[in-house]
Amino acid sequence: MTKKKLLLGLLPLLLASCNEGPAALSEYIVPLPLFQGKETVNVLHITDLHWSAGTDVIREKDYFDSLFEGAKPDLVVTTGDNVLLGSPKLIDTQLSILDELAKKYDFHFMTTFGNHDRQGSFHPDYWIEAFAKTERGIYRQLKGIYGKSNYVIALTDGSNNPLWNVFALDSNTYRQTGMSYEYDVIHEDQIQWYEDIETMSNDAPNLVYCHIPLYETEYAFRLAGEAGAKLEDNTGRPGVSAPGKIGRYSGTMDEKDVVKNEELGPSRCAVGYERTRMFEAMEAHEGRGVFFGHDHVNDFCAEYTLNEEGTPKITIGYGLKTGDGLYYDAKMMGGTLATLQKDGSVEYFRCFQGYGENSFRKEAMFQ
Amino acid sequence: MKKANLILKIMEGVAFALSGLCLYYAFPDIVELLFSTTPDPVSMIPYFLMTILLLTIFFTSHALLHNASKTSRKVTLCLGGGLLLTLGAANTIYLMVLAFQGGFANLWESRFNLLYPVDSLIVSLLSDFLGAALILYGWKKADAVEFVCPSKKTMWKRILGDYLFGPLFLMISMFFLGAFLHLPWTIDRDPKNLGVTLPFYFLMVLPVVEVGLYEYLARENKDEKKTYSYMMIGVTSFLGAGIVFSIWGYFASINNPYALTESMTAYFPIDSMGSMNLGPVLLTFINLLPGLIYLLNYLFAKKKELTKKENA
Repeated sequence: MTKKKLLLGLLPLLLASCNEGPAALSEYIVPLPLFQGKETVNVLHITDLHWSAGTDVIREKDYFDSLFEGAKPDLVVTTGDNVLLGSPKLIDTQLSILDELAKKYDFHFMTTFGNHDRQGSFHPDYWIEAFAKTERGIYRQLKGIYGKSNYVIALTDGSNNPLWNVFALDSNTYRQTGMSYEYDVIHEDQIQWYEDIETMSNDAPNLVYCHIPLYETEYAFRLAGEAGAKLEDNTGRPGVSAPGKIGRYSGTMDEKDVVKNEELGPSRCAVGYERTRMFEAMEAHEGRGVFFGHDHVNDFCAEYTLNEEGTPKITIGYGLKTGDGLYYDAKMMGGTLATLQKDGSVEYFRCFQGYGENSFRKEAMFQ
Repeated sequence: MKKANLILKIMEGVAFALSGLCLYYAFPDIVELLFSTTPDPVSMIPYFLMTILLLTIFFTSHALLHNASKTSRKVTLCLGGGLLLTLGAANTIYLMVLAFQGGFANLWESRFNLLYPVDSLIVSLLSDFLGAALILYGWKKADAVEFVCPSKKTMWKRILGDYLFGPLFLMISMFFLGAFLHLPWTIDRDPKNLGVTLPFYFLMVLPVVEVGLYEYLARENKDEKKTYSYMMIGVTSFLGAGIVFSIWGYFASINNPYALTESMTAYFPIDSMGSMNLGPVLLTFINLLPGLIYLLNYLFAKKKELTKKENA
């Protein structure tokens, strides 16, 4: 712990001194020497837990116990909608269970918020207080840019250079338009912050976790249909054009078609009110994967690039919804595992976890 | 006689405030229960029953204060008392069974508010006692208690006002009172959106203040002329304040489309679930509509009546 604390103090200063970016940016880099003595690091993505006053927390604890036992994560990322209409006590209970299991299975955990995490009988900054009570929980709230849960975990081998960056980016909640709300997006200053951090990190390979999906997910889904994808209900929309190029893909989208805006047309992704340049920024800065939640019965993932002549290098897609809160499909429930290598390569797996004994199953995402 | 009415008024006021606190948690959870696959609704039932009991106490004491006849008083006593007794007993037994089956982590597991489930147990036991007292003692002494401001409305006005829209208005006001009372724990510590949220905080509490002033000060005043002028000043003042705060809030939120979703989600839970701007609209309605109806329907008619009396 002493070594980690030392690194925690030194690394931001060293990173800040290596370039001309504002020193304040490095304040929200949290170094974790998870690669020390190891060649691989497992990052488990869980999402949309949707705990509420009616949740049986003992049952959920057993669920997580089985999932973490099977997936063997080093870092767990939750991409929001952790609670729905929660009380402060519910948040404390959830985090204390995660903390207890984190100590049992030796991992750290972090979160980025969904559109529901700020609803409940608590003030908007309560999550800071709640995370401060944990030992293995990591949460930062960057000031000066839009949103709350924006920060980055720099995975190192004990040296000063991050081998991987794991970004939590707040996809925010809603934007009011008259009588209705539209889903918000990752704002431009957040994207600029991401780019600045990557520049400071000499473009370390990185994963981005957020809650609301990017428009590029729908593009990839359409291209999968054009490629003659045998998606479960054959809804890859053959004949509907989309920019970019895909590589391998898997999963499906069982959410209903909705027309969010004219730009996108009918889509099964509950996207934000406009397309942003987040994906382009990732393509320019060694992005390897961007994962989200939000749509509980979508688990589509694909290797994708916006450049039709390029090589699809970024895996974009949904993590498996975790648990049966709010609504779910028992066939796509669990977590999504990214096994990161020191050389910058990554393999993805789906970790299916149901309720009941012996219901863990791990499969390669692209077979 | 006055003692009985005083007790009823205290009961009415306390039950109103506690109902608001309960509704603040109960209402969004009921909505969530209807639209989700929440695996354990069974353990939430004592909380909903506690809310119903508190609402019953409020409506029963309010009705007893304003019954129009001995018959309606006795009906209120039987119905209200009976409901409190049976629901209170049922909830008490249900809580005991749940507790023995390990349904609660401890007496203060705080799943809803900080005191749950012990608060539900206390309210249930209190309701048992109150229910029995209303039926036994009230039935014996009911005739001796004077009527306080018996309602003189026609049947249709009673149905629409006292049994339909009135309770709806009161329950919405209760919810926002509960939300307002939670401000110390839920208010956004960052003051950047205060210019947008401040008018809504006022709108949350104004209807309750207005109703409270009416029920406890104006309604029992025997001097018709004085009552009329108090009501005229009061209703127009509150209506004016409601219009000012509503316009302020509306234009401020148009100017900053993120403010409500950043700072007010604790008070507008359904808005985020349904992606609609329901909370501010409801607040505007409960601040403007009852006052307007009262002004047009009653006060102007009263003015004519008073003028006729003066001329006669």
